[in-house]
Amino acid sequence: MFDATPIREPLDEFLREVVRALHAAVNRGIQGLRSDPAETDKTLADCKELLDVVMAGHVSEWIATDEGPAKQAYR
Amino acid sequence: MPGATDQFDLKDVRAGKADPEYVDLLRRVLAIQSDCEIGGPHLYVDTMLPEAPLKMDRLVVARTSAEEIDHFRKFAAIGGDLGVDVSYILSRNNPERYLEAFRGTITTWEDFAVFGFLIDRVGRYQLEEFMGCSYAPLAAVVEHPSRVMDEEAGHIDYGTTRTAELAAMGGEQRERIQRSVDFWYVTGLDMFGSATSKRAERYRHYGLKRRTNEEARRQYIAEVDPLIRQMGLVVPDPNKGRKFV
Repeated sequence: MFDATPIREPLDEFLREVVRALHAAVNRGIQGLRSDPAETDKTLADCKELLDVVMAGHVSEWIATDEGPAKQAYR
Repeated sequence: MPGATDQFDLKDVRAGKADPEYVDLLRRVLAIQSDCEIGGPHLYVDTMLPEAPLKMDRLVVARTSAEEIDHFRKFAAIGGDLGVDVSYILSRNNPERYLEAFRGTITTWEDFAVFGFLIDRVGRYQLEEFMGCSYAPLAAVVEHPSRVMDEEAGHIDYGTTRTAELAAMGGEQRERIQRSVDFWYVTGLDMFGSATSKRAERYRHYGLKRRTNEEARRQYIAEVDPLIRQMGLVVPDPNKGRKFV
């Protein structure tokens, strides 16, 4: 018998929000290609900022749990 | 006690109805799949997001990364329900990744294109293994109405189209794309694993995978070799530089 990890829900929520923000930025950027190139540049910068956060992988900074992240890592 | 290939749900596994070996294999495959999903963006975000040829291409890099992060999220959630925390995968260095294909860095547009053409296609083969598999939450990630397979197909189509365009330019450009195909082709073949893998047999025994490594590899070769030839490129020697045969 085992339970879900403490990090399961908060990590899921955090990444879901990041993905939603990335898709919104990409969609704005695609629209900007036709009408507003400056908007595309801005959304690309937004994408970079969001992706840099995920690529850095500092999970403990994203979410807080009583047990802290990555205590039950399966390697 | 359900049989080896019955379909389990989370409550079955939590209730101890699944063999411990099954649970261990399930946890392992979830860790590897999570690693592969996030491994792609780690190869190309830093380089291709600012350096892809056109703004539209940069937006595609961002969208592709968003979709791969979302795939990671879905596999990580299944693992989390099973008590497996795969969050360490988010911060591991590329050389530490499970599969060789994700241990380097993509620094050229040719490599990004061919990665989509060949490596995301291997990824589709791996995901197909989970369709109708014995763990219902895992099967659900790749079955309708999930968008995962459609999104992977989009990555493959984009990579295939860009690779064909670059090959059609001829001259030095064609040589550059051929070099990328040479590298990723054998890397992709190795991703299917050893033809004599005992663990792969256990995955099949428990219904977590359907094909043998060699069956999947043969089907992949039969699919990609004609595509490479149609692009006017040379199919690399499938045995040269291989690590798993």
